[in-house]
Amino acid sequence: MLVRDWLDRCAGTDATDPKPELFRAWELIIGSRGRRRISDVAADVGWSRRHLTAQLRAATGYGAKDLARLARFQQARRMIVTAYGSLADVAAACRYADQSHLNAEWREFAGCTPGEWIAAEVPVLSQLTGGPAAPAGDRAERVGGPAGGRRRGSVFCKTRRGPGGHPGSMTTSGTTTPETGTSTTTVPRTNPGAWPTLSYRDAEAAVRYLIDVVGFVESVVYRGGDDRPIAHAEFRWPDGGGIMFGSEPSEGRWSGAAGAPGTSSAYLSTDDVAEVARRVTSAGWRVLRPLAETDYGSREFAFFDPEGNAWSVGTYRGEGS
Amino acid sequence: MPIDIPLGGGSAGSRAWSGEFLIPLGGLHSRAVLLSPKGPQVGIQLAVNPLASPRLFGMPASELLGQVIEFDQTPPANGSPIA
Repeated sequence: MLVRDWLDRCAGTDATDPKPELFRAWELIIGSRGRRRISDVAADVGWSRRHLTAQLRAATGYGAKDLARLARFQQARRMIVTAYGSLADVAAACRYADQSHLNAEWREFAGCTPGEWIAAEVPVLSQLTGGPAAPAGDRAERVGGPAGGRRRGSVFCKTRRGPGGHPGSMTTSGTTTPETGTSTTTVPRTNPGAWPTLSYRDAEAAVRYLIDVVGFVESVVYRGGDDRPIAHAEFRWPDGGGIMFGSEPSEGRWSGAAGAPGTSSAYLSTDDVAEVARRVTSAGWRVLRPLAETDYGSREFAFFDPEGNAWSVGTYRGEGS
Repeated sequence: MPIDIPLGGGSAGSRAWSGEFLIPLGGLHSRAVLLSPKGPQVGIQLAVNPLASPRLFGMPASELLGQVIEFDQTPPANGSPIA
């Protein structure tokens, strides 16, 4: 109630909010996890690159390039704590030139390499959640995390909670470190490897009723442009698992009815997309999208099974925090 | 927002501070902030879009850059903060 009263008071003041272009630029830079080119962001909001950086710096203290670097760093950190894959995989997925580029960025922002950070933090976090200790330090090894770790309640986007909320969803364990918008203390957790996927004509409405009526808990919502208001969302089911959904793409991602609103498909996470693609191709099934890198750093492949169900497979593990 | 135990001293780069925070409010940081907790700590952390800072805290996020202040010390643009 205290927080609500305070927010109500804030809403009622005549404080000057930053210009809408800045919110849009923020969404593009942070929403793309720093992968969107600054010149594209500037063009999108209709400003020069120089003006964009000056405005961002006045509002946040950092220019566009620095914000993008911080966003990429945050994404790398999220991928590490959610056991995305090896550090080389994380470096590639976050569009670092190579692993030494990733290391250099970590040294600057975190004061240590990701390997050192994992060695220092992950065993502590594992201990707090009662999970097994993850392999420490070996940069080439997969970063493990305990199953059933607690989730943290904060994301960049505004978070709505379902009735009652998820037990434990408000709990953060470990030390608290003020930093770039999200916590450094994310507790490792395991995402489901298979997700139902849905698309909606009015995905903003779905965000509300999936929570209020069905009882999902919001995990992440990435808002896109007018052509795709909800670019991507992940919701948790309180008893385990979750769904991915978004606005129906204006250009059909799927052919036929599969994947359209009113149908559901499934997304499978795996490190070995190529192997699934090989099996499907040699079975002679219809390929929807050939194996390719997506703009969010996942290698993905989509196909129809013999009865026309659409499936997609990719290295993306879900946001997980 | 630490629960029960205030957040103790720490350091950012060459700058160290002592004292305790009841509700620490941190701006964007591009350097690690090291805290020295005396034991396990429990609390709630909220991530706030820096562009909401003028409305929520009465000052642009750029004024908080690289800093941690006590929430109560933000300008009273919104009446008194949570009390």
